[in-house]
Amino acid sequence: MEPVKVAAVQAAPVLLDRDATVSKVVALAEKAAADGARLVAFPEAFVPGYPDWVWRTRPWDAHAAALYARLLDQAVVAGSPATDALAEAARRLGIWLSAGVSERDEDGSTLYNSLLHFAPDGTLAARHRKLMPTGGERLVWGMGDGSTLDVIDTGFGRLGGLICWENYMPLARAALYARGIDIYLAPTWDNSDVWVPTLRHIGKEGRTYVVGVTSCLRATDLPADLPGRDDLYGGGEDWLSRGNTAIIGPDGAVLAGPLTGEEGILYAEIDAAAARASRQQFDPAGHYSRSDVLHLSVNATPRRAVSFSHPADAGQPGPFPPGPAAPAAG
Amino acid sequence: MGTLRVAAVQASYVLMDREATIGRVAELTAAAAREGARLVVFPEVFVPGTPLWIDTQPVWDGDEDWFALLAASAVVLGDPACARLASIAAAHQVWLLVGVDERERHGGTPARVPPSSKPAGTARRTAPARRTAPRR
Repeated sequence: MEPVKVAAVQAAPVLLDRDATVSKVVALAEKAAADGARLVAFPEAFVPGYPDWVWRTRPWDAHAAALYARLLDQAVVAGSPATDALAEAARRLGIWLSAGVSERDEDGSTLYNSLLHFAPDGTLAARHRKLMPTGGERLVWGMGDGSTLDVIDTGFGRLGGLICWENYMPLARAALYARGIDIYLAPTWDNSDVWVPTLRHIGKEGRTYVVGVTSCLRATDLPADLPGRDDLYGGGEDWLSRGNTAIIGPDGAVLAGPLTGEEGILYAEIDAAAARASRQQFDPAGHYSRSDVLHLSVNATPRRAVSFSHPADAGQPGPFPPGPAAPAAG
Repeated sequence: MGTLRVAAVQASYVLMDREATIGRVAELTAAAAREGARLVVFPEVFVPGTPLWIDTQPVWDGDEDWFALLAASAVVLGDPACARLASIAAAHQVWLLVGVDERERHGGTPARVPPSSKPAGTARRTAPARRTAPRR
């Protein structure tokens, strides 16, 4: 397992424009890959942008509905041209590309706050859906289930992550430590002073690299036709998010950042073997876990509201309307 | 098993005043019992009332003081408010179902509950709606 360079991209999305934001992701990934990065990480809900309005609208007013309709229309579906473009960029550049998206099922109208991981082989290799949207976010995002609380082996370390305030859920962190995480992504919108100490705590607690990556957004980045723009934002040009991107080592040291008040890409060299070696002192899911005293149970079963069953010999349901009945045997 | 006369009470509460609202429960239960009801049902989170403010402003726009009031006014199973509800049921020999904001004795998260007069019958809503229903 060789040390590699990783990149954390702090950028503004083209808010509520999925295809333009995907293009921006690809362009920034090209730059990071040209600088030698093998993993390039983007912020929470970056495609098509974090729905900041959930903190400004009243829950059921007219703007909220119109804004949700726009977000739903511009959301990302796994296996669609948007994810194909990201997967192809990962393949062409030979990188792991991880990006936060507002995601929905192909036939669904509920959005999820998801983190997608694209592999250098050109596949969408893993997905995590945020378990618990925070506060106003619950107006636009549903809750992920335990089936996506996992890591994926990149060849240079096990990669996974938690989104925004999931990182304040100690049991969710414990689950990722038990998966053996080495490269822990923490995409967020959180701009507070406490965020970077949180990342540092996770680095030292998990003996893992932590890539904290935050969107930055100015009021001038808001589309002119954003429903309720003047009511909600008053025409100002202030930062809605100044960004807070930082990369942390497995001893809690700040390797890069924090970057605030500008777009940019942070880089750091990471060595998963060194992170693992440091667990000689502290392994939260191993010798330091006292699993005979403290034990966590995770329900990792995919949650489905409805299960459709078919007779074993019928396979998939037939076409509708059904064709003429086969003549009876005999 | 025979028939049973039931009562559905549509009434206003005294918002965020648990004791006054339980007083309303006592009056209305007595009235229903006089009419022969053996089962008396009150609305969702009747004690101490619906947190109406949640739809009037952006989420988390400085409503910690309201939340603190709600948590302080919530009902805890086995507390004097709960005992008072049980005594109302006993006094009138009715089954009493009242929606309350309930919390654990040492907890800070209220849940919506329709407890019966017997705490063993408590059932929590498993998923609160995204805020309350719109009024249109």
